[in-house]
Formats: sequence, structure tokens, C-alpha cells
Amino acid sequence: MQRYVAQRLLLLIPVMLVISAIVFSLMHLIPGDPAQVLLGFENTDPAQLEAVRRDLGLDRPIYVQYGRWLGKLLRGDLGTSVRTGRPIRVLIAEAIPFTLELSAYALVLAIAIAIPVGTLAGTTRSKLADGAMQTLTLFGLSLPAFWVGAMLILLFSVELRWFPILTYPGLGEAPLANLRGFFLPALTLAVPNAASIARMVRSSMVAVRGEEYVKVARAKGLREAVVVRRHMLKNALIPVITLIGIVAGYLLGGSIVVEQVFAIPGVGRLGLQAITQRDYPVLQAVVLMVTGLFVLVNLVVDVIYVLLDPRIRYA
Amino acid sequence: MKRSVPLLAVLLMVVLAVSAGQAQTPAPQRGGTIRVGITQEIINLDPHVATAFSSFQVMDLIYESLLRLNPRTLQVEPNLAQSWTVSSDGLTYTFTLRRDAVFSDGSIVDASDVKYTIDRILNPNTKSPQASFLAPIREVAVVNPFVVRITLRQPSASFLSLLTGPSRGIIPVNFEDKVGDPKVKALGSGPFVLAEFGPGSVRLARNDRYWRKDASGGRLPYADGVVYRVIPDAATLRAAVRAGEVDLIIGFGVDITAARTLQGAAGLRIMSTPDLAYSLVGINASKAPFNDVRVRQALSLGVDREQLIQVVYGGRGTVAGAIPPTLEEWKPIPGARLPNYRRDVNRARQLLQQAGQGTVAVKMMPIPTVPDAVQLAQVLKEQLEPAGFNVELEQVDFATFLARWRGSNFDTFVSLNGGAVDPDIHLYRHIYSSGSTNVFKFTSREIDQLLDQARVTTDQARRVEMYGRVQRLIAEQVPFLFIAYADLFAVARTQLSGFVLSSTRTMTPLAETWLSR
Repeated sequence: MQRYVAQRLLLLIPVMLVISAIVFSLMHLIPGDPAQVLLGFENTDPAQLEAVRRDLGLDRPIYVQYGRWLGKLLRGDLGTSVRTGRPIRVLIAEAIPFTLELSAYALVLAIAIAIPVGTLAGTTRSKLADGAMQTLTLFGLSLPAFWVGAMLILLFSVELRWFPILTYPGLGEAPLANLRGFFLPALTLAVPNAASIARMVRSSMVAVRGEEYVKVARAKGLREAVVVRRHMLKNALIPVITLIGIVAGYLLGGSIVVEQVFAIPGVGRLGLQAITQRDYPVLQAVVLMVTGLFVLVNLVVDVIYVLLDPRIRYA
Repeated sequence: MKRSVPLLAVLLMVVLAVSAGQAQTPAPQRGGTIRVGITQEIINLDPHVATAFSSFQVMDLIYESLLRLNPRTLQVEPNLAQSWTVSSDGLTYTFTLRRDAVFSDGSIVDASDVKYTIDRILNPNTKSPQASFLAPIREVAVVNPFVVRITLRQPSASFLSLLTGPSRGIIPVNFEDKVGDPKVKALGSGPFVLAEFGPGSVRLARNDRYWRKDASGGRLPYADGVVYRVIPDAATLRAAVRAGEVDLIIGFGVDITAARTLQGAAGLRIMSTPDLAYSLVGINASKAPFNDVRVRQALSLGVDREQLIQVVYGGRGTVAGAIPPTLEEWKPIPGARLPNYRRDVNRARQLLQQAGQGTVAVKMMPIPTVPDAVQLAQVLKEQLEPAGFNVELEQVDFATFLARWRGSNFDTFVSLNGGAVDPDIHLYRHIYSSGSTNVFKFTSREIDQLLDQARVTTDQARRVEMYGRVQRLIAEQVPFLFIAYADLFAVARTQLSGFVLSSTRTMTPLAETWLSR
């Protein structure tokens, strides 16, 4: 098991190298460069543009730029943002707590919504209830986040004033205000994921419904609630955990829209800004970090399998 | 006794009228933090290097220049310089500084700081995009601690208005040593000081040493602080002011849609003013068939500017030419009296025929950061079709737009050009053959000569007359299409008083803005 984890962690290095090389070349293939963005619309002086490009090292061939960047990275230096001139380490350190909390919160909400909804849909004998939940999850899957977010803001922040918008204190400083402030964005991010997890729970439950051990459990005279919780749900959860792992990875990258709508200065927004302004080093750092987290989350999921199902072993 | 009754009534009325008058203008209240919502990320606070509009919105309150534009009248007025004289040849300007202005570290703003500032902007190592504006300056000399003399290479009629705004903000000698990294730290003489530059927000605190007083001699600013919150989504920005989470929303994203959706909402006040900036259709005059003036004229004749204002700006804008309609002293010619401004599809087709063209294929690239530009391009496509143009829209991202703009790599584009109060600054760099932003590659010897003359002429009446000719020539030769000067909007909570929405988009009136509690 330990060896397996170590192998997976080592594998992370080539994965990140390849991804960083791809991102680096893609960024340089699209037109526009940060020097131009820095100078804006004030003038078109080619000499000034050249001077700024030289300052930023953009006049060197791409492979030289990539090599330099890699060299610095190996020394633990993420470099500085072209656009703001600030150390990328600081930019990411400022942004990541927002995104991590938003993703974790959304994941908790998604699971809290999906498991009961999916279980109910998967065990009910009522066609109507099952159909209603299927329709509901279909809506949840298809509504775009920017619309859901805008509607939640209008209803709960503007009309009812139950939740503030734009108030995101630190979790350590003001835990309650923090959970309240992050509730609407986390819910927005949770909705489509809750829907897809609920569907998975439902189909998994339907699959185990006819299993022998479920019949045995019922024949033993166990209460239905115990049958569902202890015998059906636990066995139905393996594919659900896989899906939750994938969802957790996507939440990190998928928070871009939600961060934009709710004005959260997280990693998604940092990355989006970096793309529009061709801030190559910032984008590189963001992509690397999200990639790393994605791989780590998947590793954690693999470990959870073992804990959940003793039949699974990693040699 | 009977006679005294009307007298009493009159007295009563006077008392009532006086108290009513007082109720309309309540005394400013001090304290509180004004929360401002903006859509653009705040990037860089170095006054001489920053180019983003959001940076200016913040620097307006931190840095002060020698002179300033009055936010209401748009006239140049004293600021850090309390008076000035100009030599008869128009080459030497002598400024006398006020003695009570201090930087937020307590040091006095003196002549050596002014010299240091201008030298920094002009120093090629600074790579200031503002350097080209101050190119007429030959030398800055310190006469005594409070008198500074600026000598020009040639007379510059617009020189005084070039000394306004935060991008010419006065900084102390050895600025970088004192401030550290000027991109994220600040040291100026303005009404507020930088307290915190956090992710997604900038917090400013009251500068207790600020020199400016209000009309009744009270100290400014009224508020204890200002917070800029970056809210990238325009719908969320509107929701934030409705929910009372910000006190003022202003800048990009606050447009006719905001004015319409928030109109009549309780506790909100919509402000608007004509803009100095104008929407334009840039044309690549170096590229066939647009190098033929008849094709450019046909393009102008194919456009129904009034309809564009109705459809895109909800009727809140003005059709005009090269001079902003707000600058009345420059005698702006109304659109209705300019050649090629009234839509005439048949004449457009005739001109295309004379130019030997059938249907002309036109690629049109709207700037993605201005939502109106995309809408304008869509309507323009419809309008231009009957005039003989087959318009194809090109949607590109911001950095691509900028790169293609810079390299004149376009047929046409739709964008917004910032305006200026002096026609020289407003026009020269875009239209003069070798102008620093003449990406249109437009050349006209006649217009060049007029622009050169008007730039060195100090007689106001003669300048007005020259720019009258420039306005007509521009409408005839069509270097690009001036579409409209749309209205600017801002929305404030009714608790906010004293803010003036200026055509220059300056945030400086926040020093005289207060929150009632």
C-alpha cells in the first residue's frame, strides 16, 4: 500500500512536466503577449514594446523561456507575475484558501444533498416520486452555474437578505460568518454535482436492490431503514466514491464561473485573468497546482476504496 | 391688530422657506467607509506605468498632479500648483506650488519633487506609456523650493491639460526607495492613503494631512476610508448595490442596462453625464479597398448612428464628430450638420461603384471588454448590408484584439476611445500621420498641417476655428467612424451624498462625498 502511494506520487512528476510543456507552448501559440497588455492602448511604439519584452525575457526562444522557468521551479521559485509584478507564490497563497474552501464546502453540500435524494429515488416504490427526482436532477445538471448563481443572489441576497454577498471572512477569524458568506457560492457549485452524484446513487441502489444479501437481510426481519443503510447503501457506494473523486477534482477547476459570479478572488479567477492577459508564469503555476491537486484527490479516492471494501488490495 | 396677521404669515413663510432650504442641503457627515464596486481587476498602482482604468480609479485618490480638471466644468484649475505664468513665446511655464501640501509620510511637496516626477516619466528606463504625452518638455528647473519652471521645445497649446490626472501624479524624490514596490505600495499627497492591497479589493484610509478644504473651510476628506471591491460580473455588481453591500457602482459594466434595471429601486439613485469617450469603428486605411476614401465614405453613409444610439444605448447618447459635444467652447459640430453622417444607402452604393467595387467584404472585430461594442457590431452588420457591405464579425479575446490593434492587423474594429478636454490630446495621436496610436494608418497632409498649427497656436479663437475645419475634414475623409458619445452612468445608494459623476470619469469627488447614518 505504501509502495503504491509512493509510486503514484512519483508518477506525478512526469505528468506535471508534460502538462506544463503543453500549456507553455499553447499559450505562446495564441496571438498577443503580456508586453502588449502591459502597454495597453497608450501607444504603438515598437521600441518601447521591444524594451518591455526584453525585460520580461519574452524576446528569447520558447524553449529557452521554458528551460528558465523549469530551472527556477526546481529551486522552488514560481517566478513573478508579468502583469502585476508580484511574486506568484504570494498570489497563489492569497487565492488558494478561497478555492479550497469553496470546493470542500461544495463537495460536502453536494454529498449531503445527493445521498438522501439518490437513496430515496433508488428505493421508493412510487413511480411518481422517482420520476420527480429524476426530473429535478436533470434540471440540476442542465442549469448553467452563472444563471443559478445570479438567481440565488437575487433571491437570498437582494430580496430576502438572508445571506450576504461579497463577505468572505477567514474561516479561523469568524467561522459562522464565513460559512454563511460562502453558502450561496458553494451551493451554486454543488448543484450540478449533487445532481450527478444523486443519479449515480440511485442507479447503484437500483442495482443492489435485487441482490441476494438484501433479500436475506429483509428475511431476517430487519427494519427497512437498516436494510437500506447497512446493506444496500454501503455496497452501492463504491461507484459513487469514484464519481465523488472525479467531482472533487473538477470542483477545483470548475469554480472559475462561480468565483466570477460571486466575486471570490480565488485560483479560478487568477487563472482566468492570467489567460486573458497572457500572464504566462501565473497560468503555468495555476495549472500545475490544479493538476497536482487533481492527481492527489484521485490518489485519496483509491485509498478510500481499500478502507471501504476489504476485497480491494493494491499490491 | 388686523394688520399684523399678514405680517406674521409672511414671517412664518420666511422661517419655513429657510428651514426647507436647510433640509435640502444637509451638512456633510464625517466618518464611515465608502464601498465602491468596480468590475475590473486592480492591477498596478504605479502612477506613471499603470494603464488599466481600474488602476486610475484607485490612484485618483492617492496621487495628485500639478493641475486638475474640475470634475464639473472640465476646466483646468490649480491643484498642487496654486498659480502659474506663461512666457510670451509660450515656451516657459512657471508654476508656484502651494505650501501646505504634504505627502502622506509628512514631507512637504516641493519643486524638487515636481522635477523628479517629470524626469521619472520621461526616463526611458521607466517605460512609461505616458512619456510620449510629455515629449514637448525640454527641461524642468527648480527655481526655489516652491517655484518650478518647465521649458518646452515648442509651444504646446494643450500643455496645461497634460499636467492633470494621476498618471502625472507628483511623487517624492527617491520615490522607489521610500515606497518599496510602487506597483503594490503607494506614497502620494492625495486625500487617501493605501491601507491594504488585497486579493479582489483595495482599502484606502483617510489622509489626515490632506490640504484641500470644503466650501465652508472644513477639512477633507469626509469619509474615514474607501474600499474598492472588484466584482467582475455586471449582474452581481448591480445586485451588490441593491443589497446594500456597496454604496456606489461605477465604471465599466455600469451602463444603460444597469440604469434600466435599477431605475426605481428603493434606496438607489442613478447618476448620468455625457461621456468624453466615444465609440468608433476603426478602419484600416492602408488596406484595399479601404485606402479609397470613397469606400470609407460609403461605410459612413451606410451607418444609421441615431438608430445605434436607440438600440444599443437606449437613446442615451449623442451623435457627434471629432469634438465631444460637452466641450461647448470648442464649438462641436452636431452630427446632423456633418458630411457623410446622414444615412444614404443609394449614395453609398454609388460611391462603391465609382470606386470600382461590387459588394465589399468587411471583417469587423469588436473589443471584447466593452459589452456595447459587440452589440454595436451586430447592429452595424445589419445596417451596412443594404449599403453594399458584407460584414463578418470576428470575436477575439482581449489580448488578441490588442495585438491586432497594435499591428494594424484588421479591416475594421469596434471600440471605445477615451476622450480628452483638449482637442489636441483628443485627436492628434489617433489621426496625425505619425500619431502614436494611428493604427488606422490614415494620412492626410491637410489635416496634419492643421493639427500641427493648432497644437502650437495659443490664441484660443484661432484654435477653435482650426478645429472647426478639422472636424469637417475628418467627416469628409473618414479616418475612422465616430459613432456616438454615449452617456456615462453610476448608481449610488441614497445614503451617499456629494459625489459628482464627471465626464472625465475621475474618482476625486470621493474626497467630498459622505455617508449619512
